Amino acid sequence: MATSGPGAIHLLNGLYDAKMDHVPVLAIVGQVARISLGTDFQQEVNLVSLFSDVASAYTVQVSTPAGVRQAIDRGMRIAIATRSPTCVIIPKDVQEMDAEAPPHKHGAVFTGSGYVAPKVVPVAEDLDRAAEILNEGKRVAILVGAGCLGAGDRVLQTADRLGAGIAKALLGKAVCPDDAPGVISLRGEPHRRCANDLAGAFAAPPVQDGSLVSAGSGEEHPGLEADRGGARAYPPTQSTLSGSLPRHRPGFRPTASSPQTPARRRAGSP
Amino acid sequence: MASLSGNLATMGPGVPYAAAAKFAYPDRLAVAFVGDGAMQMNGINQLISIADYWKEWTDPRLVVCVLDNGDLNMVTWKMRAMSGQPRFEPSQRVGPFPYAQYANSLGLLGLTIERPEDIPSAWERALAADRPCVIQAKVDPEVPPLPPHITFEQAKAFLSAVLKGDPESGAFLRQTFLHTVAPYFHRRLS
Repeated sequence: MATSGPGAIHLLNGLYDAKMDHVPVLAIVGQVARISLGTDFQQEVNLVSLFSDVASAYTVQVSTPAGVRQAIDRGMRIAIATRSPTCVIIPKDVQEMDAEAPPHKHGAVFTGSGYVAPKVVPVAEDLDRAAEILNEGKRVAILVGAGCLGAGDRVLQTADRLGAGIAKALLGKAVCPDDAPGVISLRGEPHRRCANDLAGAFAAPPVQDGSLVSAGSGEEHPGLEADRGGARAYPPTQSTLSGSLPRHRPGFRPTASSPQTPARRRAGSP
Repeated sequence: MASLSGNLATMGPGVPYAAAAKFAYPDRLAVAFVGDGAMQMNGINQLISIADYWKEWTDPRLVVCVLDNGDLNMVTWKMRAMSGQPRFEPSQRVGPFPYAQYANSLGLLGLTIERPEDIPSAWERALAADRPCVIQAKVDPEVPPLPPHITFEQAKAFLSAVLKGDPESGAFLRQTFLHTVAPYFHRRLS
């Protein structure tokens, strides 16, 4: 929450941090009174413009008390659903008015209460491809990131099954303990050589018979963007939206043998 | 345990995030390791808020360990290793500040570590304290923070920083050879 103008500008660094690490945040920001909008009034900054990049999923300036409820509701739902910042801007005079429920008439918009995260399931052919790469790899490495937070046990089980080493991306530090079997700590600039070497070796020709699976990490590593003469990697390309998907939920078990026809195939096939 | 600001890698979020952690989990110890550059960007200001709120926390301990080396050291080293640039004094120097004394003036506990022998007692006091603590640890800016892992390109860039007249080349060459260059040649030879 911040006041208008310079106070609002102070939020930007934190909000960009949230955006890039996929943390939902609703920023509620003040603005000059409606009568002063567009007049270069003291501390007036075009906040819709200022926030529309960092809060690209949803930035709105409300103009009446009756519109606030829907704006806050959407701001929160969209922040959670997209794992990104959203922003609601409230002019000073609107802040000072009494709260008002939207009237039951044409033009007012309502939603239900609560939010239930969707269960996102990979399509079967992607899972088959990942399984094939892992099964073929004689030496398997797993790079885990923030997307695996809360799924540490399953990561360790998978590593145990495959005899794999686990390197953690910075944001995946809390996925599993550093002293668990097969875990060789963090990769990344200020961190352990062995973890960097693990990922590095798989990107370059030294490891020909290996497979590297990147689980819940958007971290780039030169050479991992494609299968280029070294190990085979999954996913084959960095998914630009991977961090926006809902985080692992306990009990969520995707399987390759899902009986359901994947939606994508159903929609696209003749 | 968490690592934050992974992708934006913004400057100085350590102390503010440690304070946020205390609001989320007031019953748990929070520890932040931050540089002196981070303290001067926003850590010092955040200590004022910590001094204002710590009495509300069930476990009052929040330890800020300031790695005080008078240098924006990570970037200095990055420039040496990645672009072959010598340390650029006007942008990299961090002026001195009495972090521990300042903590004391706010009613927090302020401790200093000047020698390696001071480390255990300082941490024992910080972890046993009845209030948040700032440990001002004097550290050597010429120890490379990058991992002991270097490619040929980086070694070349690094040597070029030396040739371009890095003001600290004597001191860091000694430290770096031990940590960085020696393992590289060792690996190439073995």
